[in-house]
Formats: sequence, structure tokens, C-alpha cells
Amino acid sequence: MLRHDPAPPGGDHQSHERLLLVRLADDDLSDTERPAAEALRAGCPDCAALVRDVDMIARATTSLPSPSRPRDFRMSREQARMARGTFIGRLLERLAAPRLGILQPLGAAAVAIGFVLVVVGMGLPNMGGASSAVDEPGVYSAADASPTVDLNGGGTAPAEGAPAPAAAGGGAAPAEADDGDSGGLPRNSSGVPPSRAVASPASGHVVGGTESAPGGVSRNGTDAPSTKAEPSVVSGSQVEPAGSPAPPDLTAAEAVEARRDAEARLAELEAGAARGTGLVTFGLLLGSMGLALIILRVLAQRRARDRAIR
Amino acid sequence: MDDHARQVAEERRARDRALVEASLAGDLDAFNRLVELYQDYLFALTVRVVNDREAAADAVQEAFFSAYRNLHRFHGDSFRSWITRIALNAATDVLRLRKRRPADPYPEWEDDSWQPPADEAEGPEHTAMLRSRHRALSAALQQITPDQRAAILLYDIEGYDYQEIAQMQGVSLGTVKSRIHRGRLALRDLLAAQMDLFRD
Repeated sequence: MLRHDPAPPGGDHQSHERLLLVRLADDDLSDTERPAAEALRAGCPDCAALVRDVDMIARATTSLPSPSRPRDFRMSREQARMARGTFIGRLLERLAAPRLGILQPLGAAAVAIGFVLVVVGMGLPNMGGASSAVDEPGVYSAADASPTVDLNGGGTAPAEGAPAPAAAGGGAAPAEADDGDSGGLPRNSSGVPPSRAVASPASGHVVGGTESAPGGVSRNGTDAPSTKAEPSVVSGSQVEPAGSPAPPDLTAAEAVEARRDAEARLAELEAGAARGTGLVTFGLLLGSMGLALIILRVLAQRRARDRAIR
Repeated sequence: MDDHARQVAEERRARDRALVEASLAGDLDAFNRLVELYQDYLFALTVRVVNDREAAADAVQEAFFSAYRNLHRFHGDSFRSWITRIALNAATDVLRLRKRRPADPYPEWEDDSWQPPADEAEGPEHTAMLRSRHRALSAALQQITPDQRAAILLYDIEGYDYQEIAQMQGVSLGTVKSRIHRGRLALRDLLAAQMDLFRD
């Protein structure tokens, strides 16, 4: 704000309102200001010189020669294409619009949700009833070294990795390596035909089946004992692996039932894992998109800020 | 402004608007016609603001690029004012860049080869005096602030009024007046010892 209180004419020139004199030279004074400025010019030689000098400088500025341009600034088609900018450039320009200020919090929310989804997705296979049920002792699962039913003697054969038995009558028999020839196997004592056998996918155990795996099936009581024999408890018609909970006394039908149950649980587990993978993938995708949105917005704003001075 | 001047200005604006519309429709020649019309004026203004021919040329080129890119945003009355504002902002960019890297701040001070020759008919002494005056004034202009310099150049050389300059510089009317008046006072202080050059 300019001051309008010039010192009285005749005083020290340094105390005079010089800007008022410049405005006088520029003819930019109001009717109330002009008398004071005129009085200064009339009463102070230095003030008069100042007004005169400012006026001369302004006229000299007006007559400054125009420099000639060094080149032609008309645009070629190629330059015009470049001036329009790239797709990314135009995209950033749109993203920088103030009305799209919601993009940054939106991106942050997407990143947060994506992170949560990834965490939940990674934890999902270990959650729920399927996995906990599998861990319960005495419950059959594909991964269990579970006892199998002796189809011939009504006993139970130890599973692979479980202690091999000392043969006890016609009951439990030691496991043997199968030669792959199952065509001549007789029907077992429980009457389950070989074609209805249920094979354990992991251990190769066969319940009433036509094939066997090491330590798996006892076809009869005369098979050779396993070389990996460990002490086990033989009690009546079943063999209980030492150091593990006593397996239930299962009939063949119950064993089939249990196997189906285990497979159902396995399928459930796999489905849970698939859901978890899906969630992780979706979470990563969402988080990446949110992050990209934030980065693009920040870049766009920075670019716009640079261009704002244009 | 008399009626004739007002009519000329209105015709010029109508012509510019037509060229802008043609440019927006994809006619590059129409835009280049606008460039032809304003490139001398813009370069003369910009080179005085930045005092460096190459930097000024770059600023003008960038101004035209920017104008072409943002032509759809032109809704103003005067293309001349609009492109002037863009060019001044481009010049401000150049000055900022130079401030960061002030290796050769004012290369044009000692080089007046770009200035057109004075009229030899007025005699060699007068010619020499004019050259000295222009050099002193150009040097003094470079010592005031860029905002003051731009405002004075727009007012004195380009003939814009305070209001138009305020719109171009994006400031208030009072700020423009203050810049011009303080700039003039600063110029006078800088040239006080050389005022003989300015007396005809």
C-alpha cells in the first residue's frame, strides 16, 4: 500500500514520498493525491528531476528496439504430434484434475484392502474345520500312516512306517513288497471284492483291494515280514502301532467310510487352499492397482505443478 | 481507445478466434498462421525478460507448444493476451532454471549484436548515444525483479493496461501498479548517473 503523506515541499528530498512522484509521472493519481504530488514537484527540485527522469526512462523503454527472432517458430506436423503429447502424458494430465482428488484415498484404501486379503488368503488353508480335523488323532486322512484292515484274518495290518508285526496266527501279517501281480488274489474274508477296493493315495494302502504297498496290505498270514520291522503290539485280531494312539477297530465298510471321509476332508482342504490362493491373487491385484493409482496421481500432480507455471 | 482502434482490436480478436477454431478442428496451418502473427512480438518480449536469445527462443517455442496442446482451454477474449501469459510463464521457467544454475547469468549484456542498427542518417554520435542508452537501459532492466520487468515491458512496450497485465500475471491490479511504480523507481536509481544518455 502506498503512503499518501508526502513531506511538505521544501524539506529534505529523502523524506518525500518518491512513489507518489513516480505515480505522478505515470499519471496514476487520484484527484485527492494529485495536489500533494504537484506540490512536491513544484517545491522540490530533486522531486521535479525524479518525475522528469522517470518519464524519460519510460519513453526510452518504449523505444527499445525489437530484437529479431533467431528462428521460425511454426510447427511441423511432427512437432504438432509431439506437442499433443503421448497417451501417458494425456492420461497424467487428466489424472491431475482437482476433481479426481479422491483417487489418492481410493488408492490407499485399495492397498489396505488388498493387504488384508493377502493376509487372510495366506491364512485360509490353515483355518476352518478341515485342517484341524485332520490333525486329530485316530482320524484317517490321506497323509496318515494309518493302520489298515487285515482282509484275510480280520486283523489290522500296520501301515507304512508303522511297526511291522511279528506274525500272530492268521491275524495281522507283516507288510510285503507287492510284485504288482494282483490278478490271482482271492476274495478276502470280509467279502469285499477287489474291484471295490479303496486305495490310499498317500500310503498305497489297500483295503480289501487288489494291490498293496510296502507295509500296506496283508493278503494272508504267510507273507514275509518287513525288513523295517519294529516292535508292535499285537492284540487279538489287530495290530496297534507302538507309540501311536490305538486305531479304531474298523470293519472294511467302516474303513471305506473313513477313507471317503478323509478324502472329503482332503477335497475340502484343497478347496480352502484354492480359495486362499484366489484371495491372495485378488488382494495382490487390488493392492497393486491401488499403489499404481497413488503413484500415477502423485506423478500427475507433480507434472501438473511443473506445468502450472506455464 | 478511439472507435477505430477498438474496431481494429475487435477484428483482430475475431480473426484469432476463427484461427483457433480452425486449429481445434485439426488445421495445423491455421495454428501456424497464429504463430506467424505473434512470434515476433513474443520473442521480443521474452528476450527482454530473460535477456538471453537462445533461452528466449526456447521459451517462445515452448509457449507455442503449450498453447497448441491446451488450445481447447482457450475461452478468453484475446488470444494475444493468452499467448503472452503463456510465454511470460515460460520465460519465468527459464529464469528459475537460470537461478539454479547461474553460471552465465546475463550473457547478452555485452552483446548488442542482436539489436537492429540505429538510423545512420542521424549521425554517428547520435547512433552511438542511442546504443549506449539502450545498453544501459537493458542492463538496468535486468537488475530489477522479473515481475517488475515484465510488468514494465508489457505496459511500456506492448501497451497493455494495468488490468490486462493483472490478468496475464495472475495478480491484483494493485500489485501490477506497485510492480510498475517500484520498478520505475528502481530503474531511475540504477540509471541516475547515466541520465545524460536519456536527454535528447
